[in-house]
Amino acid sequence: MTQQIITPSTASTEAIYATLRADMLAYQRIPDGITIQMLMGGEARVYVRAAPPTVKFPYIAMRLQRQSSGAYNGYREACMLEIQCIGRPESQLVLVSQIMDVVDGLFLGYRQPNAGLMFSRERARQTIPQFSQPADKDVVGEIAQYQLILWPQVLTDLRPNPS
Amino acid sequence: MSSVEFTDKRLRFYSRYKSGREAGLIAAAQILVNVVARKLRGGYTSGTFVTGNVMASVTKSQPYPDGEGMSINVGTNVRYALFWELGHHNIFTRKYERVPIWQPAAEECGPDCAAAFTRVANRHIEAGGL
Repeated sequence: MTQQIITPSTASTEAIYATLRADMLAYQRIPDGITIQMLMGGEARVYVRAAPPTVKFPYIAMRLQRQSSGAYNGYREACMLEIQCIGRPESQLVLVSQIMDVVDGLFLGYRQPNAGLMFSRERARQTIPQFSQPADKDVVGEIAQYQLILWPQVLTDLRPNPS
Repeated sequence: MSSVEFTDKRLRFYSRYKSGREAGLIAAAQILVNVVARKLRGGYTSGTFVTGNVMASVTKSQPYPDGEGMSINVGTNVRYALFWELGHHNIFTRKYERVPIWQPAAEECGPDCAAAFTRVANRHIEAGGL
């Protein structure tokens, strides 16, 4: 059964992914109005974890590693949001960098206070070195990891009070 | 007439502190080496083609000074370990393949590494009779 997710929402893990994806696609860089979708030729190729096998390049894959700390009774999560932008052939390296610049514009200083709370603090970004066999050496990519702080509804509003 | 003797142990402390810091880093890194090697024991896929090459190559560097103090690296010189960690489009399986091992291991054993560092560094400093 498929269920439509109304964003923004942090009511479940998939809702968090959907919200991040929706925000990524809606983000327009100031002042030129460039969006990720425009740089991808009009298609919204943003996936969770990995792209489907027949994907067109470039695409974005995102992954969240979530960790709760006892200091906030498990309500607050310090996450690592990993964004990979992958291109092929090698000539897409510039395009991949441009897409990641737009992603940086969104996630450096990201705030989503409309459902629970999500915000980002800092990031590390690097270009994937050229691979060799058995990896396809024509594939280029950039990886950015953002420290994302979450107060998700799934752990706050929707969770019974531990006391 | 009574006298009070003051001894300046700062130099001795600093020397023990330096050696303790290095020993602590080596102890902390060894925990990560062990965890990564254990996670690599079954290989990356079905376990059918495990050669143990990456597992045997997991190693640590010597402690070295960096901008903020001392650091130590845990890594491998087997290049395809990087492909698996970051993900790659495999030309043989024609699929995207990814099995992160190193980063989850580092997150998993972070507190244990910190505890090992503290324990070993303290022991070095205390052994100096300070």
